[in-house]
Amino acid sequence: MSDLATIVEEAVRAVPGVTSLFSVGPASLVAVSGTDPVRIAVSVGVDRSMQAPATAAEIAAVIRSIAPAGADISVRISRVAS
Amino acid sequence: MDGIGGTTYTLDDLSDYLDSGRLPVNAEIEADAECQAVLASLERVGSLSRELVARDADENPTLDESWFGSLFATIALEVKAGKDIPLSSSDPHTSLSITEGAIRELVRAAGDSVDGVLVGSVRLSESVVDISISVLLGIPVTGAAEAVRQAVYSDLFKHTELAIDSVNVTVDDVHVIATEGGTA
Repeated sequence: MSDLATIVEEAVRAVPGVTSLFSVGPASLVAVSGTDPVRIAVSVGVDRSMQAPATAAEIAAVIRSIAPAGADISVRISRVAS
Repeated sequence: MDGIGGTTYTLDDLSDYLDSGRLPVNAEIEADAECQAVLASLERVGSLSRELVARDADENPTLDESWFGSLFATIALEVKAGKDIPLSSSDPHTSLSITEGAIRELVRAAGDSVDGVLVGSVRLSESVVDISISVLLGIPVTGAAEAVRQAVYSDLFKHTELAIDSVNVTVDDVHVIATEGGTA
């Protein structure tokens, strides 16, 4: 896994309300060229006590703060559970 | 049956894993959203099934395994991720979404949280949610259905941006409480 993916994983796990991180991708995070926009996609589970849309937005903001400028960010809520 | 989620594990495998206390930890199962959803449902239904037996218990004193088998098969289908339902984002380079599977699981959990109610099936369409439920004998059916409807509306409003026109609740079964001597 690339350093960036590792950093993203740690940052997402630290967001309040995130209970699971099912995937961070794609693997091409390792091998983007200088001209390709970085695309970061995460799939997460969030706690039912939080609001899923707000948690998704917070996750995106956290990723944005550490991602290269212009990165495309996708946050997918795959579970909402206690 | 195909594996659940991105795994090769079947419903029976997950049931066995739950029975083992989820030990030893299976990293593949624990990292898969659909497996997690199935395990959560199996746990919840398993807990309820220790209190509830099918209404025809006089004829079948033990739990109606086919009824629960059908329920578990339905759950396994419902947790499939399906389409991504968009959530609003002000940034054109950011997309936020919640899966259909997550929403169906949310609806099922909301219904199961109502005392005496066990959700049979959940169907989502554009702006309509259809739920079938079983209700414990003796609990007012209309009250139970309304409690389910309110719980589902509340959770959908909290966790999605869907414009839900209606939540239709159908009571299609009734259960009784199991006692040591039979049913009450």
